[in-house]
Amino acid sequence: MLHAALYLTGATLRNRVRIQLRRLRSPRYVLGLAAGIAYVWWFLLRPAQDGGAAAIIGGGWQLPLASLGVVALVCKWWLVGADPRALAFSPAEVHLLFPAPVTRRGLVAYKLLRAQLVILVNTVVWTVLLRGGGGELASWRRALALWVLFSVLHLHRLGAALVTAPVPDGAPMPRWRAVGGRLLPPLLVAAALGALIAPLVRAGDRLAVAWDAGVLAVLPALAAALEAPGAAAVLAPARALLGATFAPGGGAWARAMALPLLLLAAHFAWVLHVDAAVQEAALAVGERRQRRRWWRRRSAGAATALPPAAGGGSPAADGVPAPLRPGSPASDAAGDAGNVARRRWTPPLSASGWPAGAIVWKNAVAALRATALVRLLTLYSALAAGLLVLAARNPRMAELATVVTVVWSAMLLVAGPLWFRVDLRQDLARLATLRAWPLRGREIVRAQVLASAGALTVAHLAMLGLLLAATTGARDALWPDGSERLAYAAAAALALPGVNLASLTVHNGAALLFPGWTRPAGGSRGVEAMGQNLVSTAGASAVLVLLLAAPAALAGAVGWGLWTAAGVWAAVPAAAVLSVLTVLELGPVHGWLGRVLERLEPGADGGGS
Amino acid sequence: MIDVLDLHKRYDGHHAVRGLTLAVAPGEVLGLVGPNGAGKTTTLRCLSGILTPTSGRVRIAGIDLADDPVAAKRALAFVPDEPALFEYLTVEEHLRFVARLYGVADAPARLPGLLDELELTAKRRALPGELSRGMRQKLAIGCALLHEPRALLLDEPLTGLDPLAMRRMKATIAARARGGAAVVLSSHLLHLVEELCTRLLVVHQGRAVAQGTIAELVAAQPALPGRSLEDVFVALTGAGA
Repeated sequence: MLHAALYLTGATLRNRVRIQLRRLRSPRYVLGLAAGIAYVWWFLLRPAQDGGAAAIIGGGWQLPLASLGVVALVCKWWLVGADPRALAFSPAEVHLLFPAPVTRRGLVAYKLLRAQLVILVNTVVWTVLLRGGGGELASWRRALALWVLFSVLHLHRLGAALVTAPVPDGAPMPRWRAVGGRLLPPLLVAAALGALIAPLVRAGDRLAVAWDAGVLAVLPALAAALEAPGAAAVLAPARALLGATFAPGGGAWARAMALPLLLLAAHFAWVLHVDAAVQEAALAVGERRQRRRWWRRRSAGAATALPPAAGGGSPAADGVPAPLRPGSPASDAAGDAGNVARRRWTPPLSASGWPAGAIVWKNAVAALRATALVRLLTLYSALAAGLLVLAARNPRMAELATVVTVVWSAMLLVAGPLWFRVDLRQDLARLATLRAWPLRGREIVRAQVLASAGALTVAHLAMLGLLLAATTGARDALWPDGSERLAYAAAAALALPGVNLASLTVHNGAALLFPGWTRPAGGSRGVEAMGQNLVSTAGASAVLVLLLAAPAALAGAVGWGLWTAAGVWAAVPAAAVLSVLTVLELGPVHGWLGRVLERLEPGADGGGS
Repeated sequence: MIDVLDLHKRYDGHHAVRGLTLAVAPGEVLGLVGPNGAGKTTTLRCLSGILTPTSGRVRIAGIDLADDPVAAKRALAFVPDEPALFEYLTVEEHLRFVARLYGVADAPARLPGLLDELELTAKRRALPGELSRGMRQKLAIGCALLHEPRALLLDEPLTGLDPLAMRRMKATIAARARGGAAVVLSSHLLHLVEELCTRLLVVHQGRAVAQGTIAELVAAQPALPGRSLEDVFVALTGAGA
């Protein structure tokens, strides 16, 4: 298996490089490569040469805070769930490797080998970033330390995913695993968080004094607070893991490498053990239950040579279900037989009304079921709520909450249209289906844009509410007072729908007009793909500015005209004018994009790119 | 009900359909047969409005697809060979979505019957990822039947179905034809075509090489007296060469 895995990994890497080189025949990728290289040099290499990121190495507070970051990451994996992609096998891997005479451990070892591609790239990037810092430590030593760090983190994420993920093919878990798997991680995470938060609360006064002195004074104060025994114990494994990366010289590095290597070996053994113990036991239990269910049906006279009419499982020809294997027909049967009819909340949809409303509804359902997004928003909301509670008791915390909320709001404003993609950018892969619908192109475009814009506006309004609440407790003179704050919030709430509609129209239009330039669902990789994204994002931003220029100018005129009479409240009618004019302006744009959609033909796979 | 006149479709320098002319009356089931790459799927995609013909006319229920595509599409339904479903909508939600899209006001009353007919009642809250290939195919067919189309276009409709489901699906298609729908189906399963279709259109390299009832097609091959449809198919398309 090892030779086959090495061959597959090597061939994949070789062919990927070959494809990326071949792409460079297209001017679009050459431009993308140029933009990507410029970005990497400007933002990563140049600062590294000047000692930018490397400057963080060597101080006393960095190691505890970096350890805190690692522990937070691990807590998130156990509490919210690790990325299930860590477990995923591609259809080709399932087709070729699962029926092959390979043990489960062999399969997991193969996944670990494949992960090395990403780990090595990360190692190189961070080694370059941290070049020149940290005293005398040679780059190769730091690269080795980083490789061990990333490998352990990857293994831990894989282990967390194996323990917390539902067993494939609907096979139920053994009871001990189901109960233990649900209860133990939250309890451990709660205990760890308690041990970390308690010393921070105790050091509240010192942190407040440091806050007054500036952010750079807060970081050492935080690090000092984390030296308390409970917190230090929680952070100890992470500190051991990071010690070699932060080592000032070769001697310290050699002494610090022993523990990370030990952690790496322990994690490797754990992941292999978890897989064998959990997955195989779960699959065995699932198989037993399926067999029992089938025999019950058979004894009740429901099963004959063919499966029952109600869509039950399809027993194997010999009358006994075949062992459950991912991807096998028997596992399909298990999926059919299993009780997959879980209750899912659905927004109501009337059978009559605006036909394109069905698209808005469909995309709203998609947004609600995009669990990653919902989880992320839930996590952010919980953090924000916690900050607000603290802010009500302490003005300094209110200022901190305000800063955090402003940063999140800015991120959502800039990157929101890229994150909220439940629109044409998602559905263009099903262009054949879209073209078969009894709707005009402009109706499809309008409904698709409306869905994403609606979801994004809801997120923005929620963030605006948090911002309003956070600034209420803040004492900083930077923030406007009560009445002004309300006026600006009302103006923002009125402007957001128009601006978001325009922004998402631009992004959807770019996907229609330049499908090769927009980020595909599969995600191209490489510096040229990154550069292409940068160029297309810059282009979309420029078009958005052009689109908003005339409405903004007229809105500005309205605001200026009313300023004398209404003061800051003039921003409210101005924002309303901006939204209304933008929506009016978008009418013909949607009509034009609709005609483009009607002319766009799907490829053989039904997609439009 | 379905009238096609001198249909041509070219793309990427390839002439996929060359001057196809056909008419399918209400109650008729036309079988579109031909070897791989003959232009069957492209023809069905042109008939359903997914692809725009390079030239020629397509009329569905008397409505020209080029002049009023929305009205024409309301009268037809297309089932692709690979079910194209939304992975985040359940079985029932797919049907509700289609009901709104086609304005099927009485859909709530009709959904239970349709789910029963397609044996999907137990799976009505399942996502496509939780369904077997055959179940997904049934759901795609259910979405097509919900608005009772007057023209039904099916591309390999029985792929992935088990024998019993195949039999039921054949009955469903025949029932729709008896109800007045014009049906065009493409399939490689010649026994299915023989059983279900009232007429056949054999296409080869984008051209119609024969059209008529099975008896007419067999009779038109005097060199193959008393031979099967498969032999006639091989003779017409040169597949055995």
